[in-house]
Amino acid sequence: MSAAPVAARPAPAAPLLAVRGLKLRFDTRRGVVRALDGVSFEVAPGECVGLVGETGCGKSITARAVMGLVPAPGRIEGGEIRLDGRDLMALPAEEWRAVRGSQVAMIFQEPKRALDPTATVGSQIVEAAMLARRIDRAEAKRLALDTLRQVGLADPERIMRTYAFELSGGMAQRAMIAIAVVGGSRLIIADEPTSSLDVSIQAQILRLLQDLRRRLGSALILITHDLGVAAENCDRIVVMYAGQIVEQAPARELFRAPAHPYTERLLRSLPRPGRDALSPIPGTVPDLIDPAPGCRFANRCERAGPDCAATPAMSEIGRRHFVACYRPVRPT
Amino acid sequence: MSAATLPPAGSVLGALKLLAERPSAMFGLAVIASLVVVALLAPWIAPYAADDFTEGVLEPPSWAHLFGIDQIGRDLFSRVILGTRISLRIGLLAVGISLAFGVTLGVLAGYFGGWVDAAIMRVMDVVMALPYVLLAVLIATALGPSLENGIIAIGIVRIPRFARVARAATLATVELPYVEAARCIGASHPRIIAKEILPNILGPLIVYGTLSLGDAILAAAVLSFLGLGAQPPTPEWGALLYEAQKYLTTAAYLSLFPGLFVFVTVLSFNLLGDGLRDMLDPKSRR
Repeated sequence: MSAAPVAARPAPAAPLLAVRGLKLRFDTRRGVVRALDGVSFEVAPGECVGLVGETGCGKSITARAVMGLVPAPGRIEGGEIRLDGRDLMALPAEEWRAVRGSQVAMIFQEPKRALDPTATVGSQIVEAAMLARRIDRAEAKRLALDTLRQVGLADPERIMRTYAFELSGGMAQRAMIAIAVVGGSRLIIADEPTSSLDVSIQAQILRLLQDLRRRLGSALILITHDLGVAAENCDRIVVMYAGQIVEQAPARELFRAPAHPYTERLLRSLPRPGRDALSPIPGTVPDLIDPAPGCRFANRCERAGPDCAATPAMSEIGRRHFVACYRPVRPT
Repeated sequence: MSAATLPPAGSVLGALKLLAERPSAMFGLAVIASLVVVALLAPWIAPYAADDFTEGVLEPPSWAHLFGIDQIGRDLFSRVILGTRISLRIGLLAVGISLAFGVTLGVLAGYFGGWVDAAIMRVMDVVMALPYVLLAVLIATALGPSLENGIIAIGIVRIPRFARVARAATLATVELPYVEAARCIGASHPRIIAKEILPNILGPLIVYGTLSLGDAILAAAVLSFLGLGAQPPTPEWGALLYEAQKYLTTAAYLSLFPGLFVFVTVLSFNLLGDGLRDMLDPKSRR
């Protein structure tokens, strides 16, 4: 980052993460699945961005791409992933590996399965600290104990010696979070971090993530299919559908005035007190093998018209509010 | 069975408790433990040295000579006891060879997949198709028949089996979230293999290794019996059988005792191996 004096009018901060035009494909026996088709978004330092969408829309694979861990047979076809201005995709594998854990870290959906069953929690945190910070074991151990305290685990000395199966889901997720933050990453990606937990624990874990984000000053990408969770926790929300981003806006703006028909339908399908029946979105997500040209939501969209046969471009319709739709929903 | 959960990792006592629920496995373990003690203390247990000559030839079992006396006057009990050490060593060495190469190749194939996997496993298929007796003949022809060459032959033929077990276990493990989590903290491939893969595929390898110990001892006995392994006067069990075969009709006890030891040993390893498999695989616990 440059040390230039801050201009009078605060310029938009240089993004910490910039993903531009990311295309990712899976070569399967049935054909080529275009799992990501031109995904672009940014994350500012310290910002919390929610990545929302249905299962299979590409949110998890976007996270994997940023980590440089696209599972086979997935392959990045084009685009850019820049972290602090550095083009990660141009890095040799070894250098990208060094980025993981020290600059970007990840938290998983099923914490008990994301912990090694044959190693103690302590050894896993110590390992993460040593790899990310190039420090010796004694120092890493001190840091690990300190981090366990920070994630709200009482008696860290004892937790260090436990195995995953001895922890509850909530405790295991706290331990996972400790592993993620111990390296001092400025970007944490949480992939459905609360989906496998009890509702009461979910709130605690989300609060912890917010708390840590503020204290450590790191940015957070919160991947979730739960719009409610995104609304409560994120500064900005990116909505994905069928491998593309359809809308992004500050959280409040998105909920007040959703512009993309998909977002609007998604919000309408949320259960709310006082509403009798849920309103599911008709139809199904299109097949990502040879999808029809044009807007991918068109086949399920009430507002679709002949113009939707051409792919809509992303346009700014409000302050930092972008939508890819020819016939956006107007606020009433 | 009442036990629903595995004992904490690293708890030997817990493992023994689980094993104790299976009498046949405990029997196997007890026999093997005794054989190990016998092997370690063989020179002190055996009343005679392997090539000591005593009074008489081809004497049937008596109190003075529990297993009888062989065709040139050696005490068979002493020879069988001393042979225990040789046979157990054969098992360990042969399985050691199979395990070291098989696990290395299998883990590499399973972990990296793609052409690495294809190349390794095709070679393994070829080795797999090789009967160990044929390989032993080839090695014996090239290097001369000896116990060591027999061990090498037995070790080599079993490499593909261990490679397959290790590969299958690795394939199942690399998919698990904790391996991805390890990648996310910046762990390198060698580190992930050493710290995440190996410790987590140990279960099936221990089971297969135990079952293989019995097989290897049996295979070594067969090679020695055919004259391709241990050479007389080495008191290896198969070599004892080889020497005894000429007297099968006149002095059956010369074949009976070494044969019994081979049988009981192989059976014990199989019982223990089956017990371990049931214990480590919750699905087969009934």
